[in-house]
Amino acid sequence: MKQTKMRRADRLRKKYRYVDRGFVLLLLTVFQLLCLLPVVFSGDDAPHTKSAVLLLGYIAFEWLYVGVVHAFLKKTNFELEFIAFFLSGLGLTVAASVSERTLLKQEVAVLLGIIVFDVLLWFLKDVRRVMAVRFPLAVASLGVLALSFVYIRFVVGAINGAYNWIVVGNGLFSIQPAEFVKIAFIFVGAASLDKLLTSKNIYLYILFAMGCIGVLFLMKDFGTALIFFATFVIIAFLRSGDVRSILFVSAAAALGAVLIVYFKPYVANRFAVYRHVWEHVDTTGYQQVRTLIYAVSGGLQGLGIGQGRLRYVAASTTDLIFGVISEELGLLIAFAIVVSFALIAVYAIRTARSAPSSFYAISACAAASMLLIQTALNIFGITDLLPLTGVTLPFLSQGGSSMICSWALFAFIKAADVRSYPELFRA
Amino acid sequence: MSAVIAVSRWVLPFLALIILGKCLLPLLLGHPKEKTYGYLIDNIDGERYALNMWETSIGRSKGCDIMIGYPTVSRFQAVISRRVDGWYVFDLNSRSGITVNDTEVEKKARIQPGDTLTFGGAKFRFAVVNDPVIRVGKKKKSAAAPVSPQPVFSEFESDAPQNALPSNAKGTPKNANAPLFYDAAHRPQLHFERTGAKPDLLSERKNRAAQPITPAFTGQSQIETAPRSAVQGRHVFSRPTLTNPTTKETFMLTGNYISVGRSRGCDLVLSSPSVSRRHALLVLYEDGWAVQDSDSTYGTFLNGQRVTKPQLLFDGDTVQFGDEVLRFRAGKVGRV
Repeated sequence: MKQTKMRRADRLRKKYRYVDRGFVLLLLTVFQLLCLLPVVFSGDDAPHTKSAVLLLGYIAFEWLYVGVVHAFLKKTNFELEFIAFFLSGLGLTVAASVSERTLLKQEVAVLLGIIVFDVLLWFLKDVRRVMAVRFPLAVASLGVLALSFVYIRFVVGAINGAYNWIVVGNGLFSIQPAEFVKIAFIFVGAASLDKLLTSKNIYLYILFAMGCIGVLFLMKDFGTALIFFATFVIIAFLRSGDVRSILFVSAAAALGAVLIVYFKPYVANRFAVYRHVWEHVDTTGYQQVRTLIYAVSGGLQGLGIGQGRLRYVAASTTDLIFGVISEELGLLIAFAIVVSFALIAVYAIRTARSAPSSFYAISACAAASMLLIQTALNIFGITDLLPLTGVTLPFLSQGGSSMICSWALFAFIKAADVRSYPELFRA
Repeated sequence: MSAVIAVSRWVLPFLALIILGKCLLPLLLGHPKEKTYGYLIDNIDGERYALNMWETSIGRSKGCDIMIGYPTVSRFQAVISRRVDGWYVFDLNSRSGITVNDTEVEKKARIQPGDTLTFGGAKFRFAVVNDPVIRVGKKKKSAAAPVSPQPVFSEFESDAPQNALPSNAKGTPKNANAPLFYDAAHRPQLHFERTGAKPDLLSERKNRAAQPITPAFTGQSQIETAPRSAVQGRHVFSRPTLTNPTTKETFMLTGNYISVGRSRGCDLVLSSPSVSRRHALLVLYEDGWAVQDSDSTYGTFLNGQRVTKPQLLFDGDTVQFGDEVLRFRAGKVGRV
């Protein structure tokens, strides 16, 4: 009896060892075609052929990518890529319903993101290579962040009350340097640990982290600073496994926050509307209130892409994209998005235990938690469960920096999976 | 068209959930489980500590993956780690330090399967059963099956593919040449100079090896090299033995020293008249059994060479007391 049970488990394990590439790609294609239809045939105008071509090109690219990577690199674990394709596809659909130019920009960002993903995945293959660049990377990224702050502060000026945007080429596109420092933050945090249970480089890492968070505070990018701090706490815990020191760090941070609010009261004013959005419906609580109202009107199945009202609110395709999707595609799709982010966490936890080195395990868990914290800050922020901090939703918000950073963080998670390097490790 | 769009709004969520479910299944069911890559084997009681991860911490603390309860072991003593280029042991600034084959480890040291590691006086032998790294370095053009870089000990159940076992590249059958025991070729380096009181057995042995050896005993050279059970990869725990190749009588080597002679008081009694009453001694040194002559009349010979100083015994050696010829088998863990 027990034996047959074991055999059944073995059979299941064998059957579901790898994700069924063809079938999932087929489902993804059907899903994205169905999303594409209302975008292309919206209203009484002629079909938007340009958008249709771009979206079909994206679907074709998915097939090409999976086919090429499987055929030439012999990889079989595409779970993360499918999740990213799914989320990016939804983001592209919303972008297509805004304008063709937005769609094109977003699609280029996805392509760049996938390139960064694969280059980083190749780079992470050899831990010795990682160890060689960690200190130069730490210095360089901190320097770039500080320089860009100085540049924005004194040359460009604030955009939306924060100094975190560099606009290039007469507003052709803009860069958020903090997004790229996220990659370096995980990289340095995990790589400065030589082996288990050593505290040799931890002070250097603390300096680096504090430097990054300090510059972000000066940039008034509190959302990203919070993401960095939470990720720092998680990396510190993963490295030491010590709950007490984490509590100590968190208590110190809380004290610091109290001091900041005491000496600089205007910081607290930014969060004054938290839990009071309905008292400031048309002023500071405008975005949260509209998100809550319109997301409800979407119901389970949504109003249809392009039919919603939330898209006319400022920052609807960046910060409020979750609200837009809830309204136009419905609560069920919004739920599926949340499930996708939960899957990322499951993936990181499952792979980290059998990861080929503590570097992989820590970087995967840190990258996954960074994505999750960002998702939580975004979704809870726009629904007034947390203060609105204006962070993007990974893969879905419009914006090149955010998209590239999300793909790069996925590279860390995928690198921890021994199946990602079939030529090197025995799974 | 509008009908299709209306239907699609109901279909989309289900499609999304199927896609995500399909991505979740391999994570829950088919994901690589933890494997035992190797073992640390306690030299005293033979207890095996599994190395389940790429990095395994060792120490007295409960937080360590392998907990060693000796008071001489630091709370965080060492980390054994598989890096792409090999297995390493790292010292975590422990008080008592680490030695690999009696050489002190400064910060880290590369280790080979079969090495003896000492953590604060506790001796362990390191064995690899499933090496997780397939290939090291550049791609080889030859169509040879992937060969793991180090000898894989097949004394434990190995679920690595059979062609992953080391093959001796000379066209010999693959498993037949896998190092099943410590023999002279795979024996770790010996370091006697640290313990000045001990005789320099190794250099003596090397000098002897340089001379042409005329085996005193040639008729039975085709003796099988390993017990059958070991060839099948089952874990057997065998002690070192001395065997008479003609009568197949086997004498197990236990304790710390064994006297050989014709006298009834000897541990190993050989009744041949060419054997003196107290002929020779077999002594267990830190690195294995050695033979020394006790002023016998007809002499003791190791592989045909007369023994004047204590000589270490290696697996397959022929020991001759007078005209009694015995073959030495090193056993599995050396001494227990």
